[in-house]
Amino acid sequence: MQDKTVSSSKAFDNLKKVGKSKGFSAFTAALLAILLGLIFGYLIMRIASPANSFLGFQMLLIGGFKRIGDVFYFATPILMTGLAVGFAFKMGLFNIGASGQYTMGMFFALYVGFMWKLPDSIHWIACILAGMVGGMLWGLIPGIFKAFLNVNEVITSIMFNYIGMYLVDMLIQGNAAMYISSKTRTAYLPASAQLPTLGIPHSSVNISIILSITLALILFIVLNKTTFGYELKATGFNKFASAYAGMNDKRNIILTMVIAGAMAGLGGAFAILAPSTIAGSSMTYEPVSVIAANGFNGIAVALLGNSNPIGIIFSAVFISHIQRGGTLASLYGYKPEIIDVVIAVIIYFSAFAMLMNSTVANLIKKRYSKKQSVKIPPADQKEGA
Amino acid sequence: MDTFYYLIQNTLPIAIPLLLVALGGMFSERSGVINIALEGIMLVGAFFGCLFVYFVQSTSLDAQGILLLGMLVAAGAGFLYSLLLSLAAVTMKADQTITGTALNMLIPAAILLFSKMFFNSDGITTSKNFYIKEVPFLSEVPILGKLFFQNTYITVYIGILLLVLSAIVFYKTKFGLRLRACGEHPHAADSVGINVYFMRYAGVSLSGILGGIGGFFYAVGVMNGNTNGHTGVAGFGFLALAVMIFGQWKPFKILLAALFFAFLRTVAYSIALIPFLDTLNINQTFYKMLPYIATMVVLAFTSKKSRAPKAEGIPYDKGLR
Repeated sequence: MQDKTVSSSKAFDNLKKVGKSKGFSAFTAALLAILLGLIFGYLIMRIASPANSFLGFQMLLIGGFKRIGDVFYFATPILMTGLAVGFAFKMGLFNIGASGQYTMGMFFALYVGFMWKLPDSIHWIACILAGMVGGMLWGLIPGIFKAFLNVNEVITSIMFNYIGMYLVDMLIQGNAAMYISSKTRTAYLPASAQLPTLGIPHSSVNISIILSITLALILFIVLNKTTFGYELKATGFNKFASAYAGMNDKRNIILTMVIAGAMAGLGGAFAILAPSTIAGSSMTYEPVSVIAANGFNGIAVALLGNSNPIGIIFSAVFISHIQRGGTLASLYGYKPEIIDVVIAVIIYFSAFAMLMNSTVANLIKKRYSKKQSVKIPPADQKEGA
Repeated sequence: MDTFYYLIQNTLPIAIPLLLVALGGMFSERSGVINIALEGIMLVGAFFGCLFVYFVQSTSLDAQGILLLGMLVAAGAGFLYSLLLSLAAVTMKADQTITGTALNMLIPAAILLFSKMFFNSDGITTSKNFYIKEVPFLSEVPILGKLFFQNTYITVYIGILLLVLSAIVFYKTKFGLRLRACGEHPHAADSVGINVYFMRYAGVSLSGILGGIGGFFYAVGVMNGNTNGHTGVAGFGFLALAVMIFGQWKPFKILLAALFFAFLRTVAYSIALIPFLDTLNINQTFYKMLPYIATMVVLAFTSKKSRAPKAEGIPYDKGLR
């Protein structure tokens, strides 16, 4: 009898260890937040038009599977901006400027795509690298402002979102080779600048999703297996302690922002260089003085993925999936904006889902221990005595 | 000289929303809660204020009366929305920046959803005119009359009144002192019997009220009484945060910062009227960037000395001493 309780409590302890590990609780917290967000979305659909709510909600949940290529295509940019936000988060920096870095990356990629004449095989690679440089530049400046001038990176990057947006619109509108003023859009990119497609019919999914996932894995290794990653996380936990331990926080801040900017810039390049499904055309950009939404969606992706590069891969695909589902739900008369509401609610709950999670876990634990004490009263009495 | 009058007359209705929202941010941050949700709160205020105007505009109510009532509606809406922030950030001890971002993301989507469902548009369009051609008697005063009492909105006077009220509450009352204590050293404040949670709720709620009013005043003074889910408040909530930092978390410095920024923005949008700048023939978009670049330059020079409230951004936990 005694032995049995010991072994069962050991198994319980092991279970508790898994349950208590940080990654696991972050995962369940994200699930809890998603669940609450989806329930909220269902309620809104229910209020908006009760008759179709079930079918509409079903479409929202599984509609993405019908457009699997599109899911991955739209997941690519937000995966990259998600990495941009999440990587900076690890250092304790809130990179709200992913939008500006994304826009700059897009512009640099477009510029090289239109203005440079390069051999077909390396043109698109040069475009991608140019996009990365553009994003780096727009991450570098807030990094310098933060490291040397003590300006809050949130303010700087918001300002640079606007500066970047206006700058890019101005430069594109002023360039006759890139901009067709009668269409108020950029011209079609030459085919050599477009990314190789993966060949899934009716979708623009291309090689960039593979590159993005690879980059996420690289960032995961950088964060967990290198000195720089260790320093970065240490600074995120306690910047005074890490400075005291001799870590060069100024250099680390700038480096982090540059890497984050590079990720967002690549996101912009991947989005604009994607091949179009219609032959002879390509993605185009319309300068309308609106801040790129993909930057802000990146914040959602990073938060839902708990800033972990691996988590961000899944959260980007998930968010893209329900976005596609939301677009398809319009077949039943629902507006696609419902997804943005659902995502915002998910983020809101994920901010304190960890806390809710532990409350729920405590409740379960209490019930479990109560049951145990009922089952084996003698052992308990002995312990009590 | 007429150009100068024109610029000032147009600067004030833009400066007032910035001023009010930055004051709201000040109350929130000085109580210890980073309020990045100001953008969303403004939009809530603008939306509900305009919705109210939309429903009463056909009645016989006087335009200025509608504006005042709309202001109260906007304040109430902003207050309720800010409770979502305090609930998460104070009671649930969640990350304040994340919660704020979520609230910012939620409201434009919700407005678009609502407007598309019920109005079949991207926002609310009202037809009431709140513009004041000239204030009787006062507009006759030389220079000052032209600067402050012609071609303006009542929002300017309400804004100044709220600034004075805020400064009195902030510096001259027990409440203000306690609020500031909670943003600097909440544990010390707690040890002398101040309820830190309550004070933080109060700080965030004040920012909700001021932010809601500021948003409605933006809709009235800048957007002619309209709200749109796509453009929202065009980053004014974020700009207000910059104004607040630029103003060093102090009411009257915030006023100066708001005026500075609003003036640059007005100049940017009225280049064609300023002969000197018009002849330079620089791309208009460049001037639109100017306010943001100027803010960066100013922040670069002032931030070394800048001192944010010490405890801002850290959820208060009684157990940590």
